Amino acid sequence: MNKYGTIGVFVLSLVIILAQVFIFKDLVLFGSAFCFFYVLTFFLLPIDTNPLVQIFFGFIVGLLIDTFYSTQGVHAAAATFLMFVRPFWINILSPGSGYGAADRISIRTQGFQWFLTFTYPLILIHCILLFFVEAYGFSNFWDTMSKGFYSSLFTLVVVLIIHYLFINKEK
Amino acid sequence: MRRLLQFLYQYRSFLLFLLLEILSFWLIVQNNNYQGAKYFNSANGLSASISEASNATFGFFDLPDQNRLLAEENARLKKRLSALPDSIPQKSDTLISKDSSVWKFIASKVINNSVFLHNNHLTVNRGSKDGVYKGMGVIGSAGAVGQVVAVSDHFASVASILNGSILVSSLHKSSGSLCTTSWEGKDPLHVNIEYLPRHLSLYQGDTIVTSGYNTLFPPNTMIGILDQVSIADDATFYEAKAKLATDFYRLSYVYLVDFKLKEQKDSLENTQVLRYE
Repeated sequence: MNKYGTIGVFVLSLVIILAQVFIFKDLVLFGSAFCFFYVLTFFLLPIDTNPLVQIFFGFIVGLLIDTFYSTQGVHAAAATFLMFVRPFWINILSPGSGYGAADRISIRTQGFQWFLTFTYPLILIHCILLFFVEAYGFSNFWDTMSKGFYSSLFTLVVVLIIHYLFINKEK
Repeated sequence: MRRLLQFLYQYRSFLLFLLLEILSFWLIVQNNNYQGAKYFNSANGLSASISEASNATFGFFDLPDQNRLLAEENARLKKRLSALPDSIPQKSDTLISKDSSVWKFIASKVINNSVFLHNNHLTVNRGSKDGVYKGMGVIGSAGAVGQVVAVSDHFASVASILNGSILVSSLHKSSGSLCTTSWEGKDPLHVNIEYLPRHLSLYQGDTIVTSGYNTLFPPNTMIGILDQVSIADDATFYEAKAKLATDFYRLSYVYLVDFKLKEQKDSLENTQVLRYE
């Protein structure tokens, strides 16, 4: 946590959430690709954060987003799941030599390919889960599925751009 | 006891995960049961005032369109006004003059809106201090919009017709046949019109209006125009779709409908009729 401390993470998260609800909330491509780039906050937390803190953090961020989208609980449910899975996913993807001195996830420290393999499955699960919970079941299965898929692509692109522009630079 | 604690400690993250998921789903169920939206809705003071600030900034880009819509509405109203007889008889004790004051409208601005989800909501900048209450109908300049589901002091959250849990009692205007408007969750421009029996002759372009049976919208409020009509050989009811009169993409000003006799009518009906759904 030495690059920027706990407070830094929270401030950055708050900025990201505000940007999401101000700018990216109504940005929907072709009526099906949503941009949920606030998932970036979930990748900011240091690798060795207590899993309990991670899960709770996900829940709170989800709830905040829900308040603005008028979808109480939907984002919270998906985000909690993402944060529950995150530590396991980090373990699975752990490079042979471990994470070494790097304590957080960024393109600079782990490389572009690793970053992509780490983030995209999480984003995909998040988006698909989100839309199924929102649709309240499996009616319109393929419609919901395609919404989730296209949203995950759009989200990934925006996450990468923002990561390159603002987060990867900080040293 | 010790082993129990050990067990709890070992699975602490899974248990917390489970707890929070249950909490989330409880919130979702609370919200979907649309008379019960209580917490974390967009009528919540802080999030609504942030939305309002954002809307005040971005709203300027939309002004030319809004001016056009309001001008169109004015033109429509002027036309109706000119169709009225020149002198309206001034009889304060007749039923008609009483009836006209029964519907009250509260103008309000939409500060938050969604159309692409399965259950869409909008937030308006009028709340309980302006006389808004839960269950009020909402109409736009072109037609029916939705129903108020949650109210705070200065804001209200509205479930729009583009919401799976909203059903609107409607009329096929030319035949006067009762039907139901619902939304299946895909296309924000069209709604399903259900329960139109096969003995009617339906045509594309027929008008669907609200029935006024459920005190939500004034009778004869526009809902949409039929544009897909089909019926299977063995079906009792038509499968019909209507193009919505209201353009939810650019909804900016709406009217909250206050029916003064709502309570009277509802309580009278509740004592007479068992609920059937």
